[in-house]
Amino acid sequence: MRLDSGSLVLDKELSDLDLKVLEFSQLLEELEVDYVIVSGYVAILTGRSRGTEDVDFLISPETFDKQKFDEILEEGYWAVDATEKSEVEERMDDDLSIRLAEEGEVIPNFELFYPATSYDRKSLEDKITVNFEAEERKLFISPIELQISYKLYLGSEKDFEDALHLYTVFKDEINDQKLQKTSKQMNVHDKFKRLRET
Amino acid sequence: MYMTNSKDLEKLERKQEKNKKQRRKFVKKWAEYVKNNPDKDWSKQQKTVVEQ
Repeated sequence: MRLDSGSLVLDKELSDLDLKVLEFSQLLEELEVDYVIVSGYVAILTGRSRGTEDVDFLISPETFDKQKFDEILEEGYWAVDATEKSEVEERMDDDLSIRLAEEGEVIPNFELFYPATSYDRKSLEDKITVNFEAEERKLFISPIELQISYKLYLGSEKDFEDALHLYTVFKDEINDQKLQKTSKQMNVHDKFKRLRET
Repeated sequence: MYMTNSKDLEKLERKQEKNKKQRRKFVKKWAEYVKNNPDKDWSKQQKTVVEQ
């Protein structure tokens, strides 16, 4: 695994979850939807030994519309938590927050949502490109420094463990100043100190 | 029927704290393994857990 100036190269044996995420990400790319994957899956992709029910996709609202949403449905996905058409349209004008899964399945699902904070927007702007040695496909994940602080902010034990995993794996490659800055901004400086002492 | 008392709860709390520390230690140990070994090596093991 090599992380270097906005790019991560992985040579991992892909799990079924990885393959499903790659397939969905490729569809978003074909539709020219600007996205970045955030939260738990970033830790899982980079080796954390746990599963998940959902993968979070931050979507740039400027690159997404009802037509693209319908095209995703035509490609064999369904909205798990918004079965009424009117409900989907309502959410598109709000924060989006729609969970999509492959037809006939409920998990894993892909939660799409619009940026709500400056951290979300920063994740989209500074996203990391993940390339796979044996695959043509790629995907985009949030900057690791932001993810560590965000996970500490969320605060559950699972989130702390995700942050600990990311920090331990990438501590020699990430920007320490950036990490200190975001942890102060998110008011998790004490938790970050505890993480470093673990 | 089992009765609980404050000593039992204290014991449970201590056990919970001990488990938390042990888990964190393991998470760090595994992350160090991921960092220091080829991707194919750790991902093969991770796959078994994720696909359980």
